[in-house]
Order: sequence, then structure tokens, then C-alpha cells
Amino acid sequence: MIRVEALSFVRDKEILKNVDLIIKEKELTILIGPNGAGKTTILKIISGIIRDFSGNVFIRDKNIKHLSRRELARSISFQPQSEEFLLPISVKDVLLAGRYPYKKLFSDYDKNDLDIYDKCLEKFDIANIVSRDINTLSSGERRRVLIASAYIQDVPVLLFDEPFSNLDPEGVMDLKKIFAELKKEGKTILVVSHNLEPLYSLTDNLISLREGEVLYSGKRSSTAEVLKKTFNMNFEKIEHNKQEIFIPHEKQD
Amino acid sequence: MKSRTKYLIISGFGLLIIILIPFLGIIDIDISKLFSNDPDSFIFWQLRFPRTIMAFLVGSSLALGGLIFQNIFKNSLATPYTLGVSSGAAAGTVAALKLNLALSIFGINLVYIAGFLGGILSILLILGISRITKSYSVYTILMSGVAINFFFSAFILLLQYMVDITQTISVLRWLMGSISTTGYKDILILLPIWIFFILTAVLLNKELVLISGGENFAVTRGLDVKKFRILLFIIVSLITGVIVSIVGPIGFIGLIVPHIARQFVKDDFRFLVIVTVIFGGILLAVADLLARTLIPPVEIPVGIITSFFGAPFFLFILITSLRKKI
Repeated sequence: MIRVEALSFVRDKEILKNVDLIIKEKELTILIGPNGAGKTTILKIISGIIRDFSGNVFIRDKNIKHLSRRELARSISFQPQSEEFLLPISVKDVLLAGRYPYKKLFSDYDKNDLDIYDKCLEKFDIANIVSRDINTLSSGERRRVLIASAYIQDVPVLLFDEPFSNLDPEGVMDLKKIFAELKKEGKTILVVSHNLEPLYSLTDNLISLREGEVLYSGKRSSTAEVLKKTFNMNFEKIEHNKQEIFIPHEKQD
Repeated sequence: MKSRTKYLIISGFGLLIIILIPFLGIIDIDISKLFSNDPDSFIFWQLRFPRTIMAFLVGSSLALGGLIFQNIFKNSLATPYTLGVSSGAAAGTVAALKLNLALSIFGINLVYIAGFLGGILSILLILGISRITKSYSVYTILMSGVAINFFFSAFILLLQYMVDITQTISVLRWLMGSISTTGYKDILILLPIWIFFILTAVLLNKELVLISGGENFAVTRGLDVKKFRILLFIIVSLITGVIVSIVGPIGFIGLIVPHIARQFVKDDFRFLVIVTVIFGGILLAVADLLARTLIPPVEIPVGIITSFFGAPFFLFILITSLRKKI
């Protein structure tokens, strides 16, 4: 369980204002909110990228301020929306980097790491692209590799920022299956997404953020109401093949 | 290919070239006279062999320094030379010479320390500028490097203008980058630092891969990026400072060699380090061979050779990398 207490963060302007949150163990939580609401900032704080925040973040009752970088990387992984690799880097290197938090200084990736690596290649069906530069992959392949790199890190908590952006329908279906599997394995998952649709059937909880403040945090229910408050627009719920879809309408005065 | 085989092949290749080069030159060396009391033996062992070894050590260090800087700054144009570490080191060295600081403390010549401090100063300036502008973009860093290069060049020219004319020529020759005046004494100074430098890069190969993936990538996998970066800056500035104070600033090796090596080695960073080291060493040794044979009996400073061929290559990288982005 992740507990966020009185979290505030200022950079040029107030980005997060006194945020309290609970992200439940082994459940999938979606974090929504308009652009600039502070969603990505929350992920960056929980994953240890941003450290000059005020308030506290606990992962399984341990304050992340008291965890070393390696310890934190053994409990949490974060996949940003667009990981920028400016230099050529092979898929193999990206994946093996996920074993780094388990390695001592100067020790090599050993048989155990390579076994986990091989399993990962099979699970995510990426064995055929391991020696390619990640910058040359299609966005679908790239997303698979990055999720695999979160998986190989062998952490209980996985954070994702807009995992479905820039994917074609096949890529979306693919990713949906991967998320279903991750959830089945008991991972705690927090996803920032504008698009509720692909993961909605797997979603347990919903958190809504607006201008750095929490509007809603809890079980997935009355979603249309939450969406309305969050985005200041009306949403219509449509059920199709047991799937719920929310369609936005302009607000009528 | 089995991993040990590829290391053996590349090392053997490097060794072969390094043994071959001292035999080449304006005067032919007779192998049978190599261990006799003959001019051939003198030319081989006292002139060509030490400078080939020196060229190898310098070239491999510059290339590896380039590779490490490229990984830290995530850009193939960022090297100790382009970012002004070399010119900072040169300014430090010239200042020390001008102040007659050629004395040593604990056996370490102050000129080397001045070179090291000059290099560190450049790094601090670049980091300071990035911090103030809150932009760690490649553009900011490269532009800062250009400005720092200009500033230190002006500083060196000023000092040059003030020293007496006889000293000017030797300083000028050194500023162009030249290996011709080095001997075994310099090799003995550089060798321990060289070994330490290469071992560091080999042992820290996991961290160097992580940092090349970007700050967030490295941090979320457990690397303390800030500490690691400072450690690397100090080590690279140290070896750059010592090299510059011995042979002067030599450009483009650090830019070209890692670029070529990356074309051959895609997914084994430790091997990439070794290939970069050997290619870099060979390239400067060959450049030095050209320097002493191209227009006999004149010796061209090797820095002129590397810049002459390196600058067009720099433009080539620039154009291809820009075209890739479009």
C-alpha cells in the first residue's frame, strides 16, 4: 500500500496542494485529471525522481525519504510517457538495467539475472528485437519493451504515465492483455491516463486531481459524476458488450 | 561470437598495429639490428617506440573520455574537447608555466595539477550555467562549451603575448598538440592514471549504460546519478588535465572514435569501452605516424592532423544526426 500524506510541491507555482492519497495493494488505480493537474508530478515523487517535496510518502509503511535509491528501485518502477533515449541503446541494455537495483558495486549481471531476462523476453514476446536500438522500434514494440523493463525490475508497485498514448488498436489490445496479467500476478498498479476506456474493466479505484488538489479518491463508482467534476464537462455513460464507455459532451449552461 | 574470442581478436589487432608502427617512417628499420648498438636500434627504441606508446595511451584516453562524456550528456557531440575541458586544462597549464610553477609536491608536478584544475573549472562553469538557466539541454551545454573555449583561448593568447618570444614558439608547438617531444618519463607518469581510468570505465559499465538512458531512467533503477556524475567528471578531468599538460590539447579523437565504435558494438558496453580504447589508441598512433612522415623532414603537430581530418567528420556526424531527427 502507498500512503501519501499532506504532499505539497512548488516549482515556480504551486503544483500539488496538500494531497492525501491511499493506493491499495494489488489493485489497479487510475489517476485522472486535466493537463497540468499534477498527475505526472505525483508519479515522479512516488518513484523518487523528485525529492524536494514537502509531506510524506510511505510504501508499505516505510517513508521513501529513508529509503536508498536502490531500495526504492526494488519496490517501485516508473514508466514515463515518453522515455527519451538520445543515444543508441539496445533493448537488452534497457531490460538488464532493471536488474541493477539488485546488484552490488562492480558485480556483473549473473545467471540469475539472465534467467529472469530470458523469461521476460518470452513473456513479452520480444526475443526477436533484443539487439535492436530502442529508438528504431515501433511505438507498440517500444511500449512492450518499457513495460517489460518495469516487469524485470521485479517490484510490487508499478507506475505508468499514459501507457496507451500513440498506440494503434492492435497495440492497445496487446497492452490491455499485459495489464490484465500484471494485475492477476498481484501487482499494485497506478496508471495516469486521459483515456479510461482500455483499462476500465480492470480498474478498482479512481483518483481525480484538479489544479493540484484531490477531487475524488476511492472505489470506481459514479464515474460519470467524477469525470464531470474533474473536467467540467458532461459525460454520458454507454454500455456496450458489458463494456462501459464515457462520452464527453459540452457543458450546457 | 564467444565473448572471450572477440576481446582476444581486438586486443591482438591493436597490439599488431602498435608493434608495426615504429617500423614505419622515413628511415627503414632493419629488424636484425633492433637489439644491437646501431642507429636503427636507437631510432626504434628511443624515438619511435616511446612516441607510439604515448600516442596510444593519449588516443585511447581521449576516446574513452569522449565516450564517457557522450554517455553523461546523452549526446554524441559532447566530449571533453568540445565542452572546453581541454582548453581549460590548457589554460591552467600555460598559467602554471608562466608563473614558473614547474616544481613538484610529493613527486607530482604542479603543472599537471594546474591542468586538472583548469579542466574542473570548465566543468563547473558548464554545470553552473545549466543550473542557473535550469536547462540541461544539449544546446545550453554545447553553447556554454563554445563560450568557454573562446574564453580560455583568449586567456592563453594573452599569456602567450606576455611571455618572451623564445618561449612562445615552444608553447605554440605544444598548443597545437604534439607527441614528438615525449619520452619514457611521460609514459611512466601517464600509465598508472591510464590503467586506473580504463579499469574505472570497465568496472562501472552498468552505471555508464544506465546514465546514457537519461537521468530519470537511471534514478528509477536505483543509481545515484548526481554522485556518479561528479565522480566521472573528476576522473575525466584528471586524465584530460594530465594529458593536456604533456602533449597539449588534441581534438576530435574523443568525438570520432566512440561514434565509429558504436557502429560495431551495439549491445555490450564493456566491449564498447575496450573497442573505443583500442581504436582511439590506434587512430592517434596512425595520426602521429602521418605527422612525422607526411612532409619530411618537417614534423606536423599531430593536433593539426586530427583536426584536419576530424573537423569534416564532425560535420558529417552533425548532418547525419540532424537528418535522422527530421
